[in-house]
Amino acid sequence: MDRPEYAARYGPSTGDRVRLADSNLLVRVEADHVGYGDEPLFGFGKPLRSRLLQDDGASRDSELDLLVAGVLVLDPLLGVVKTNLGIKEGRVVGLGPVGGRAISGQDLVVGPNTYPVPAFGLIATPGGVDSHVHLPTPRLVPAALAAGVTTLITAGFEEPPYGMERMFEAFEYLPINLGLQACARTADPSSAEAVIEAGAVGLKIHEDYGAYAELIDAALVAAEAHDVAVCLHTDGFNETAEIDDTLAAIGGRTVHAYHVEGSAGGHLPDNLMLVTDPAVICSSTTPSVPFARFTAAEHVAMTMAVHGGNPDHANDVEAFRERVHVGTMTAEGPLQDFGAISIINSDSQGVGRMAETIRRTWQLADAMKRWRGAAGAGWGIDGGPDQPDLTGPDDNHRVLRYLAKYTIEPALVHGIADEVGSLLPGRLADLVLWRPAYFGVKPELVLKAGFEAWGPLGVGNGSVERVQPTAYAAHWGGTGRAGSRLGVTFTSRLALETTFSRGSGTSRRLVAVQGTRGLSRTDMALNRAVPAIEIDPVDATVTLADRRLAADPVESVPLNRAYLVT
Amino acid sequence: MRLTPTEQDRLVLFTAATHARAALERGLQLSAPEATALICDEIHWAARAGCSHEQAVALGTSVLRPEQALPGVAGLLEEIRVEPVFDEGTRLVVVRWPLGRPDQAGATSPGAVLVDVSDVPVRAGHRRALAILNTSKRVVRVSSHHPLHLVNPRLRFDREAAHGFRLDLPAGDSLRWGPGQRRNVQVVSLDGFANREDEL
Repeated sequence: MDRPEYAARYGPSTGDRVRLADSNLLVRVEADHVGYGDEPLFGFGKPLRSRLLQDDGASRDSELDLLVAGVLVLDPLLGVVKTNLGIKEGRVVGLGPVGGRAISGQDLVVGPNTYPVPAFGLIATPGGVDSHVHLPTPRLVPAALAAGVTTLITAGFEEPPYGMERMFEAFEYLPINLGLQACARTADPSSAEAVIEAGAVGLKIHEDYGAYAELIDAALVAAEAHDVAVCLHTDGFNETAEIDDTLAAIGGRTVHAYHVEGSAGGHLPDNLMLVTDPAVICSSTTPSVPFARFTAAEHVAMTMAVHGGNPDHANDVEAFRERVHVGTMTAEGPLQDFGAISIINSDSQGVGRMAETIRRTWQLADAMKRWRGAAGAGWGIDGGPDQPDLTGPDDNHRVLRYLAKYTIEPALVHGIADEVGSLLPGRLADLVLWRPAYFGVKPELVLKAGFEAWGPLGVGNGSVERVQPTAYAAHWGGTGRAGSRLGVTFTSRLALETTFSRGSGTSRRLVAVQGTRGLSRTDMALNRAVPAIEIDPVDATVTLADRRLAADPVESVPLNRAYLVT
Repeated sequence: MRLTPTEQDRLVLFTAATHARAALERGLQLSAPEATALICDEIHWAARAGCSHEQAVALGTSVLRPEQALPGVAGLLEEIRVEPVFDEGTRLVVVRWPLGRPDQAGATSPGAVLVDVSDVPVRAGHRRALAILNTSKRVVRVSSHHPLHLVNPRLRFDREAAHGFRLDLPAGDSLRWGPGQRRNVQVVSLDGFANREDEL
């Protein structure tokens, strides 16, 4: 069969390239394990039936719950692979042909009780892991799910323990994974102990509560004792510490540096020097990527709104103006492209957009493909990409690296990579199906723990699904009590042994985070570059390998207006 | 008004379509959801004014010209399903590619597949020719993966020779036999499909 006909029937196959939405990014299918000639189609006269591809003798133990058939998997650890994907009891159990040898995990047995999800021509990615979420309002959760985000790690500010208990209760029926972090606001260890015991999966150092060296040290001591993460928003006043003092306080212990570029907060003007320390795993937040014409203009009012600034007070206005520095803003995209900044997260409503983590990641990848094409090689970065991103007919390296930024990398940093961040067998079947034309902006279906949780649902009275108007809403997984069996609550080991062992009344699965300590950027999956940048302490321009590191502002982005009612 | 959820959905379409018309009046091009709403809304009104089902389907591809939508939007509108109320009641209207289908060469279209040059590998298995006669008074179809020796007994052929074989068709295809029709077909062994051969 020739290629155009095969692609029209069964979706793209080995060697075919697929444009991601309306971006300039092309993925090339590395391999096809669907099974040529035995593609498991479902329907009228199709092969997924008794006597045919269905194994009538399948045992209850061996047959899959769900077969995602013929899907193009984009996964930071599996690559760009066309395959069938088998799900059982909420987890991915295998990938490969139906009835043949699996390429990963167990062989796929389609039995009489296996439910088929036809996904020929669709793309599957792991559900997004947003590792910087403020939750001032419940309206954030539908925004996240409708955008393909299935795990929320909050940005601190969840203390007191009483409030954390209520938040756990509020999330009981929501088909989304949750990890709460709390702020570390004193060097007295009993405070950190209290929130970790209440279930905090990490401690947040925030300048608004003080980001002094002794607070950083105390938080790290507590984190090392209990295996939880530390997230860092440094001292933008340079009131007690400058960048070198903060790096000394960190002392080579793992931290996740939030909005490392600095305009959303942190050392003025060179917070971005944190990327030179391999113990610091860095992230960007949604508003600053990709850098565009109005990025700086928006930041002054935006940061003032969430950090207690008074717009009528000239001194506040000056301080907030000064923390927005275009020199580092223009370097942020290139450092993301090198993999020196490992993660993209929302900073939802504090300052960032919940539904744009994934969309902006791809807008940035699109912009940085152009920038790097012009900027060329020779930046001399250990662990960073070089030639593969500049040559070749596809963007697989770049696409997987960017995909990792909101999937496996935050999962690794927050100690939840055994559960989420990849579709490797054994992980939760939190996966997002995308029509390639809508990739990264509007999902086709969000499966949470192998069950339909969210999607563009049509008119209830419709004779078929998807009668217009379709709108994102809770699927069955978000209805009734189902969410409590689909969403995982991440906690600390200490909380599992104390607070939750006393009975919390939850039906959600409780999983202790683990492996958050002793990580280095070089432990990341695909974003592990450690560049020796220099930053001018006056004008914040960034230099790498004796070259100015800066990308021009973008004027328009893909995955944008063509997809939206605006 | 006793509005039902369906009527409220109709009003969502109307609101979005009104929004789309306002965009057009300002000389702006439409997004995919705006174009979708406008097309659906026009179909609803046409059905209310008494058009036929066929006219409603045809209207779907003539409401908008591609240049009235933003670049790329034509490639986002693969299929629109809308259920207007005709005088005879509610009917499903399906419009395929309302702004035109991007051609294969349309590599810049959103989500475009840029195919490789080689052919896809042929499925493994032994192949042979077989003559099959339909002795039934009815049309009989056989699909790609059905074990041949188990098909409708009114299809006459050498079942012994067909044991362990299926029609050599792409997965999901089928062949049609009219009453009394004889076909010479290519069949392929099922053994390419590892787990099943021992049972068939």
